[in-house]
Amino acid sequence: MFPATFSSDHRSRTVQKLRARLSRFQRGLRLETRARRTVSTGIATLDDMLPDQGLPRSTLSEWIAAERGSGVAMLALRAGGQAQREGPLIVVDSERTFYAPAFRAAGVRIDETILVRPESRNEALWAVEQSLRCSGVGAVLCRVDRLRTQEFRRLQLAAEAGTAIGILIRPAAARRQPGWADVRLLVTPVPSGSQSFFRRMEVRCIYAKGGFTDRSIQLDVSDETGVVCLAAAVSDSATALRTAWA
Amino acid sequence: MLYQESGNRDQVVMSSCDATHYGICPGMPLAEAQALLTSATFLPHDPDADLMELQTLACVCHQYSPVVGLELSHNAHCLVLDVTGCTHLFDGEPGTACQVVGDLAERGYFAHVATANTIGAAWAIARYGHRAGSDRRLRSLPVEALRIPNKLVARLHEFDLRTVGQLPALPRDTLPSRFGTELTKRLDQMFGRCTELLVPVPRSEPVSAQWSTEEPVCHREAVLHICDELLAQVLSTVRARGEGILRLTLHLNNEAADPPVSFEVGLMQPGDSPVHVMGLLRLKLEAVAIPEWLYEITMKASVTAPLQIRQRGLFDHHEPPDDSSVRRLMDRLTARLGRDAVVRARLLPEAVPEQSVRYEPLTDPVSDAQPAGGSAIASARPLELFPKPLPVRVMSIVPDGPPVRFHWNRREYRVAHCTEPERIATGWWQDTGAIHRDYYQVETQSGARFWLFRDGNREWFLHGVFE
Repeated sequence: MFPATFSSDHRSRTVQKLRARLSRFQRGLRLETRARRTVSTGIATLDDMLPDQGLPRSTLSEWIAAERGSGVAMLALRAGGQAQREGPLIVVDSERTFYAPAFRAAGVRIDETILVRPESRNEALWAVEQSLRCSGVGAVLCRVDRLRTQEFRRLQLAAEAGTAIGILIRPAAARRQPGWADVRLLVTPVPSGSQSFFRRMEVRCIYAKGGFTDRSIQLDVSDETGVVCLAAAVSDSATALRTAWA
Repeated sequence: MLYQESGNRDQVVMSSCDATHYGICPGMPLAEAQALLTSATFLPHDPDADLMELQTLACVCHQYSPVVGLELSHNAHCLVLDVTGCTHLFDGEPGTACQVVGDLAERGYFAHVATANTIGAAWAIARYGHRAGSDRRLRSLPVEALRIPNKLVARLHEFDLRTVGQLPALPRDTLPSRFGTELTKRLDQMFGRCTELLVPVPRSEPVSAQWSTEEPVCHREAVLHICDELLAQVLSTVRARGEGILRLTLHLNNEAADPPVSFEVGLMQPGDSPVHVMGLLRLKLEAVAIPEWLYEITMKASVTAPLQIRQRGLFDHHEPPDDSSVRRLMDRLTARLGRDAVVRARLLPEAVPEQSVRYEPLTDPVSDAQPAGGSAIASARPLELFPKPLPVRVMSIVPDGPPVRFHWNRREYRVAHCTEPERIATGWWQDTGAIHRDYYQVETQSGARFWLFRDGNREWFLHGVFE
């Protein structure tokens, strides 16, 4: 009996020791990645949800829209606008639907934005890869519907070679596909109630390298000012918000 | 210090300001100058190289005046710009002068600039004057200011004629017989009594290189190799002018009767890097079907511009940020995707959503004809706007009322609530004809937002998505 108790005791102690070592390693790893420069998403609460307090440079992030009209591009552009301090924002838009007059409301400087409008999907991926590889670029933003694993990996390697943050806006179907992005966020629209002077959306972090996943927050975006803040979880925040923004 | 061989000995031709403090002056034997100042650098004088450099500077000065000439009298070379009607572009005559000085200073030259009514007066003030050149001040200048040979100056000095003002006092008829006709000619040129022709420096011709053969080639690699050699030829000529390539045109002539294939690559900034330009050509050649049986390839630098080179200080750590990598990226994207595919957005003060933005190629210079960011519309606009509004089926309870339900993309959306209509209307006299639209920003029951409008015929369209 004695050896058995000893062995179980010993095992539990070893497991505890290993756990402590693992957490030390993870902390060290986290600190190392945090030392790399990150770019804020432009929304403090969203930054808090991410393990590096923002989007790390030289990596890709996937912004998945649960449905059309969810507001995902607005959040993604906000992050792109933050990266403009380091270099221009390159928007690869093969469908030619990005509407520049709305950029300013999303915090993007138009004079620091370059729009690339390729004719085909292959050319769009080539343009994204080239832009990610370039060292002086702040951020590269692209809407991609289908993406094969090899293509995704190519983009990730290109991002590693450069200094930009790569922002991929994906449709809902991309959620089920594996990816090479360091951060995957799912944006779902939430009915804003009877009032229409703000829109509400839920941002769920479905994957973040080196961090806890499946956390979500609800954000309110003011229609008039474009200010983003955390939605009140207790009651309908409409009245409070109206007084706050009046 | 520059020296030149004259007779059987070397003579100092030119020296720096600091050297004159040590008693060194032009005309002194080289050995004597070397004895006076051992630490100086002595170089042989190369007048041809000087002239070439001056011609390069003349090309630089073409931005200030369409007519730039060289004044080459008596080894005192200088640039002459006819700025008539050009100065208002550069804040008047003093502004022009300042900009010319600054521009040449950036290239490492210290320039004396003078603006005057005649070439003679400007030359005299630039070389010998100090301030404003009224006729009285011109008369007080030394006779050397008349652009006359040194021998003539010496003869005038023999007669104790030291200033320009002393000459008109003498009987004019006797001057040509005593000192030659050049003196009166130069005097008249200085005071504008006779015309003086300004021979402009010809603008540089486009540089081109050609390759032709009897045996036609059809391999892509061979074509690339030929392009590589042609580019080296073109670049060597362009570099000699102190310029870089802005646009390069390539013509591929084939033996078949097909029209020759020609295309061009553009750069955002004048460049002379063969690797970069060749990379752009490669990208273009990948996209273009190279015809078979090529017998002639012509490469032409159709647009060139002076290279922007700025010397850096040894201890200058505050360098401006280097955006050359982004420019090179833009060159590559433009070469592969086309000029119209790499654009910058320009907001226009127009009410109609699709007209309130114009996309200009990034390679075009920024035009300030219209104010940037002129959009005065404060209302929310969708981030995704369809180039053409999509017709949708919409249900509304009352005629001309807000939408209640709409179908799009094989899906039905129920509207939870929508904003008040925003009416956008234009006059019939505009290019697009009369536009009459009532825009609604609608939120569906799931919280998604869309931008719908009803036109004058009460038909509904989906124009954008608030992505």
